[in-house]
Amino acid sequence: MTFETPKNHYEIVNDLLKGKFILWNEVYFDTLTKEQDFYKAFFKESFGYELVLRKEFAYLLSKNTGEEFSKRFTVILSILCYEWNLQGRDIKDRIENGSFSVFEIQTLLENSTYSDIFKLIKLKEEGIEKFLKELDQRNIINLDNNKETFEFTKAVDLFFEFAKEIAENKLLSQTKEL
Amino acid sequence: MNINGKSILGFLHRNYDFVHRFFSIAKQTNFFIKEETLKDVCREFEVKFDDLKEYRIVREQRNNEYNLPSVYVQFLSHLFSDFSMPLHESVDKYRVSIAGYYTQLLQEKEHNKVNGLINSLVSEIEEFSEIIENRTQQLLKETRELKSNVSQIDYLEKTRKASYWIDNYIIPLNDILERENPHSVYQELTRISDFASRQQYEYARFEIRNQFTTLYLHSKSIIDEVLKNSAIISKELLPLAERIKSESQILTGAIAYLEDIRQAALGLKKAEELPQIAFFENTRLNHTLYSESFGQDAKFLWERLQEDESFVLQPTENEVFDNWFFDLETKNHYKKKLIQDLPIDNFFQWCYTSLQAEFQDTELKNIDTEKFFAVSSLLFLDEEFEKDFKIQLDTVFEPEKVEIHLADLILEVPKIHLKTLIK
Repeated sequence: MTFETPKNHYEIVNDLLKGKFILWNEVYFDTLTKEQDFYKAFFKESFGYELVLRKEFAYLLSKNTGEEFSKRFTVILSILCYEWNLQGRDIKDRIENGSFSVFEIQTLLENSTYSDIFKLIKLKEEGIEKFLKELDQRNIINLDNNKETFEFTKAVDLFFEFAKEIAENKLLSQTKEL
Repeated sequence: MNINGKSILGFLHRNYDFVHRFFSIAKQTNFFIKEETLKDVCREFEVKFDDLKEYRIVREQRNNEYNLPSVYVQFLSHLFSDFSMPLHESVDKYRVSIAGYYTQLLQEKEHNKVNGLINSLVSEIEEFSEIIENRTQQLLKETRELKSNVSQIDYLEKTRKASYWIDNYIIPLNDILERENPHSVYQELTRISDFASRQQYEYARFEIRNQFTTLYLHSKSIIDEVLKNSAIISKELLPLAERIKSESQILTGAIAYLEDIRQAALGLKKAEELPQIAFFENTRLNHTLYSESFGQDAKFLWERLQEDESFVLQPTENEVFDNWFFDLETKNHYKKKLIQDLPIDNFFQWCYTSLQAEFQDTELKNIDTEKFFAVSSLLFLDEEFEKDFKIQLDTVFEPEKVEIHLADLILEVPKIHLKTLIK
């Protein structure tokens, strides 16, 4: 029996296992789309992980509820949404099309009404820069070369969906109470 | 009191602000208003309560309630550009009645009835056109107010309101006007206009041909109205409402999540109950793997174990057991010595002399290659020197060669000059 793998198999497996999003405009994305049956089965059979392949990105799904990275990401983005809304900005449009300065983000988070929650996620020691670097490595944001500004990638859609799901559940539970 | 059109309009004119307030309050309760409330508004604007009844602007109901007659509702809605929005069915009934009149018109042979049906169709289309125009404008106005959140409602309520409007008003209204929908008013009006267009030339009677011309022109202009309103709905109203809904949902979710985290921190909620975004954690898999040389190492050990007899190396008589190792302690000793002795004129000679000095009081007199090379490895430890002593060493090779006589070897080595680098 010979074991044949699609092109760039090593890179695909490594990137996804590191929690990286493979975006639609990356070279491996085509391979992943063409060989999606193989990869879905591969990750399921080899590691028990679910590969999610969407129009604009692919990633592995975590069932681990104690995951700190996601929690930190969600807290930071939630605070930013809250603050941008207070400033009267159209948050979805801003996140999808805006460019952000690392300094501005840090100031917003530290001076927010929710700064106590920002402190809870214990970023202080390693700093926001390091966390942003990790987001960049995972393809959730694109840091520019001098590491001073960044943009969000399409992976941020998952945050919007997550927030909407919480809102829907809240609406449902309130309707039930009524 | 002389009640006529002029005096009624005069009353409305004199008390315009009162009428506006009264209309806004009554609108909230579907134009039925409690006597008490009505009297309060009258007092506020110094309007005689009885005059309202005299002018028949309000009509008394049972249980101390008054209502605004529908003729005033329509007139004042128009005056204040503030239309109530009854359920979608109130709009859809026009689509049904227009289709009904048209079917009858197709089958009717009697001239008088044809005339009546055309008149009914024209007025029905007219009413319908007014309703959709008003409704579209009202929805736009309310959606913009919701967007700027003048009433300061919370995000969850905003989500609920936007969803309700989208599902119950905007999408049904869009469907009714939508060009592609075979059951839309647009399609119905197109059929009517095509039919009227032919009949204005073909119908047997002249006066009815003229009626058909009116129907044709009227339906044509209403089709344009429908298209205009349909464009406002699909290009402006629906995207705006969807945006409000989506923004409010994101904010509701974001705030709810932050509050959940706060509750978990206070111990009021379990960490496991927190909603979790479905990301993948970096696995950092710690694979337990085997080295490539594992097989060879194991083979070697196995062969040693297979040997029949064990053997122990014993020192021969008078042999001195040499237990010198260039371990960390020894290495540090020589590193310090090197620093102390800087600058060193001849590095290899320094190695030999230093070793000799160490062993001069011991029985080990011979300096062999193993010891010599161990100490001379200091030459390649630039980084360690920099780290330990914050010093940079400068190595200068000189053309002159020197001989070092070791116990087991005679070495010919270059003369190396070693000093501290001055920046």
